Amino acid sequence: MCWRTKVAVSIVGAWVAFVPLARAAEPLKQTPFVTNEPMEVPGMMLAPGRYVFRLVESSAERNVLQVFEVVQLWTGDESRLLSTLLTMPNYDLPTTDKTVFAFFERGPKQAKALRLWFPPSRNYGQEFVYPKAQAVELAKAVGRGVLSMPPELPGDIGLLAGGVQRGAAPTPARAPAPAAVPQQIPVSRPPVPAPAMQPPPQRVAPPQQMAAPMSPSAAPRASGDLMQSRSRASANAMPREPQRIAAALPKTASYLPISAVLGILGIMGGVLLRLLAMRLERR
Amino acid sequence: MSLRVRLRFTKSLLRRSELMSFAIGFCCLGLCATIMVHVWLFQAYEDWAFEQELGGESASVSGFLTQAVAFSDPPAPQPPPSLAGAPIQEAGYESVVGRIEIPRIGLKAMILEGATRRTLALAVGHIPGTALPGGKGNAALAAHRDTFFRGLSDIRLGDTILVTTLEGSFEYRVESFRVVGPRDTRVLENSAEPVLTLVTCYPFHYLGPAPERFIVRATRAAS
Repeated sequence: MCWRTKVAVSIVGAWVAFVPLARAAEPLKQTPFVTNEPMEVPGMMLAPGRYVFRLVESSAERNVLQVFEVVQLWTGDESRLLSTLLTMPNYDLPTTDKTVFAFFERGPKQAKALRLWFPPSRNYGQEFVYPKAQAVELAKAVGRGVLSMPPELPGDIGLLAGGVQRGAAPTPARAPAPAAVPQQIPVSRPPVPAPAMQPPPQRVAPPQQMAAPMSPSAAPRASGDLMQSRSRASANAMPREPQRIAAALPKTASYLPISAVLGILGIMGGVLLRLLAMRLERR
Repeated sequence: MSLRVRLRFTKSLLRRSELMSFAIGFCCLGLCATIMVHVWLFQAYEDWAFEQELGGESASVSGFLTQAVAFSDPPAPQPPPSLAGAPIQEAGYESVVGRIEIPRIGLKAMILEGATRRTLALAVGHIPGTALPGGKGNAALAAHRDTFFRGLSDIRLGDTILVTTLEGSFEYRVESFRVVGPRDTRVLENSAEPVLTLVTCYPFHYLGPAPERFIVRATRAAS
């Protein structure tokens, strides 16, 4: 191997090895924002102040999460990662060149809860997935569906084993923000058994919605293998969420018959060739 | 001389082709046999484990093997325990949802959560996003037309479909069947009534991925 080939192989090797690591911590989108009043996000209540949302791609979860995306919540000066939040794509709003936030409004005396973050120039936004208990409360209060995680998962998915990298180096070019230190009030953060994979979020509906049948078109659609749990299930007394119905009916053809036909044809062909060879030998 | 060489060459070619043909044939049939044995073992174990759980006992592979090797009598069928008031438990992907039986066509198979290729290779799949069998709403199940749902080609109106879950046993009656396109997901739409929708490929005797879907719709029989 000549020295040029060696150098080329080394460069390609280094690129293959380090680029995924670099991408893991690299934000795809970033939005600094200021809140003048307390605001609820999954797993915590934010005090008034300056914060930064970062949409990141995690190489660790790329193989597991097919439809979810991970958003990091940083302090305004980007010195501290406050939480790592799970989101799902939401296509409700048109694309704009501005950042758009949408909230669950619960009344004048209660803090708003963050529902959506539309980063600029993106054709879809990030709908936040709340911990189960928080989602149930929210759904009751606002009278509409709220995306939720199973009860054993915390709002901060960074606490889970194998989660996104916590405390990635802040971007040095950022200007320092005012010293508004956010106050964290955990809503519910039970001990986590550190599952390797995260189950899909469900939409918690308010009581009056759960009684009524739901239309599949009313909710976002997603598909894919998301969980490999082997627990046995009991039937659900309520209609299940239709939000994950696939765009097409499942493919229900196996390759077993083709394989069997090929096998039979192969053996028949072998027998025919054998007969032909015997006939030739007799000549 | 030339004819002799030619004949020898032809014989050699025939011999090689014959060997290759036999090899392909046995490989394909061996693959089929392996898959069928795998599916049979999976179904047998899951069925046994499901019965154990219905009886309130724990299931393990060692227990299954012990029972299978010892040829001991199977436990007497027990009525499913009433789980009224039991906490609702969401099904994870590939977890066992229950068992489906259509006595008239001799269909009996375990139901797994999910409708992926792997799930459908092993069992009947419960299509994610639809209601669970036994509950309110439209519970949709899918399976291969050339394995578990092969018998659906003989289904008749009024046939009984039994679905057993840990919640209990539920009886459905076939109300209609029809053929739709693969993108016609209206058949999965939820309903206020407890209904069961079975999905498989159509035509039944097509080789490879069939272009249409055969849909059986059944309503829950009054208990």
